[in-house]
Amino acid sequence: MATESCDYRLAADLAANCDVKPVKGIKSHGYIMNYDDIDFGATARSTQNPNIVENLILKTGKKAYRMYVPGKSPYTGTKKSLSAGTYRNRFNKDVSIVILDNGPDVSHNIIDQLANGTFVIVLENKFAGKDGKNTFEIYGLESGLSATALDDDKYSDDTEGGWLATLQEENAPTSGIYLFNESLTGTRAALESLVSGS
Amino acid sequence: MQSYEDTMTQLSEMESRFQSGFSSSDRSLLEALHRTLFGKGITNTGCSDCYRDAYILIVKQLKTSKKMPDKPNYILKAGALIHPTGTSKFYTNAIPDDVAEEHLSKYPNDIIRFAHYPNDWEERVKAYTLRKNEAVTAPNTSPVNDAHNVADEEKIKELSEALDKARQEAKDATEKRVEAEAQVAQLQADKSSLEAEIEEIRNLANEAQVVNDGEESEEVSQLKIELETAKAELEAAKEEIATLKTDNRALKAANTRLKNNGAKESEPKDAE
Repeated sequence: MATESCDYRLAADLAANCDVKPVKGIKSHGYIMNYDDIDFGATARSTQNPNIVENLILKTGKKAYRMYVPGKSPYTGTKKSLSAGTYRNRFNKDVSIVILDNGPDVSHNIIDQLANGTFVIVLENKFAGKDGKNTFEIYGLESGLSATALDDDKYSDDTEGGWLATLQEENAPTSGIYLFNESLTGTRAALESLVSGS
Repeated sequence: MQSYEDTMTQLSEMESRFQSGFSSSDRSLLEALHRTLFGKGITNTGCSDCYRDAYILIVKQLKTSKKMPDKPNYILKAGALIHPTGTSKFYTNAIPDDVAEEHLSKYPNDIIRFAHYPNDWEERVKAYTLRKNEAVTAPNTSPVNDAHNVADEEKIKELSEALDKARQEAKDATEKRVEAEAQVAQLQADKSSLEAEIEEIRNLANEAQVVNDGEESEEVSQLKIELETAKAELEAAKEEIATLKTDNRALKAANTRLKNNGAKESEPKDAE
């Protein structure tokens, strides 16, 4: 096998978008699915830009679930940051979710699963970008998201007796992965079919 | 897909939990049945009433149909999307056979995006491609097209005959009109001649009256009689002219109508 070296070189100007001004934050609706339910054989990345996933597909019989966090700044704490490595640097991606509900069903169906499972989440950025491709961002597609904190603070003003979950994808090789299939309309249709299952 | 009997049994068991609240497995089943029966998920899943409503809808639908719906041949996996080129439609989940086979004829490797498909999908795609090619290369060879062609030819023949007839009628009418116009011209010439003759007779009568001091000679009487006769002839000629003019106008109108009809009937034939 021939020795191969990775070529890390910039390919564009570091410029501000003057046409469409960026907006911080994430919208209230998101999607979550089990990492193991993803059909990686059918899931395809763009040949033009591997940071774009054109088809995020689940295995037969599997489905995704909707997430909804109300408020002006839902999913507060969601961020990506560099993780320094010995030879190569990677990225840690954190997603914070508030579950404004509680009880045996929530504990059994959601919290117990979040505590030990691995997940993939799709969130909708408020800033769609010039061509809409920044709209839907995928977290956990490479290493999977797993829980780093699950808090049920009974006196929390923020969670109102519900749960605060923090999931992290550790050491993901890609800084950002976006879901975009031809158009936003097509992407939304694909996301809806994730929820409906097959 | 479960059988109708099994599904109804499960729904009957769920009835005891209708008031207290459905379990998570109940909810999953209701969602799946709702999607199977109505082609979409339960719209709002954030409330317990939503599942009760869905339960009622599902039971009612199944009791009415008395069978489970037919399973489509092609079902996409969750998240898979097909967008046929040149259309604004996006297909997810269950898709029509022709859409799936059209897509698979171009991208056979995309079969991995299908959750369910017929075992003989490759033969079906080949058959679809063959049908499509036949339709492109020989669009007029189908029995339906043949029937259309025969009907069209008969219609063209009928229209052609009607057009020829209309043209002949228009030609006859034109000839009659020319003949009538010639008669009118002749009568007008006769009228002018008679008027001149009457004027001459009047002048002679006046001269005779001056000579005989008011006494009517035999010759004058004769001339008056001739004058009256000429007047009567003139009136008759006028009446005849008026009649001919009326006939002429009618013939002109008939001629115009026939020409118009002939032009309209010739249009389909030209378009063909």
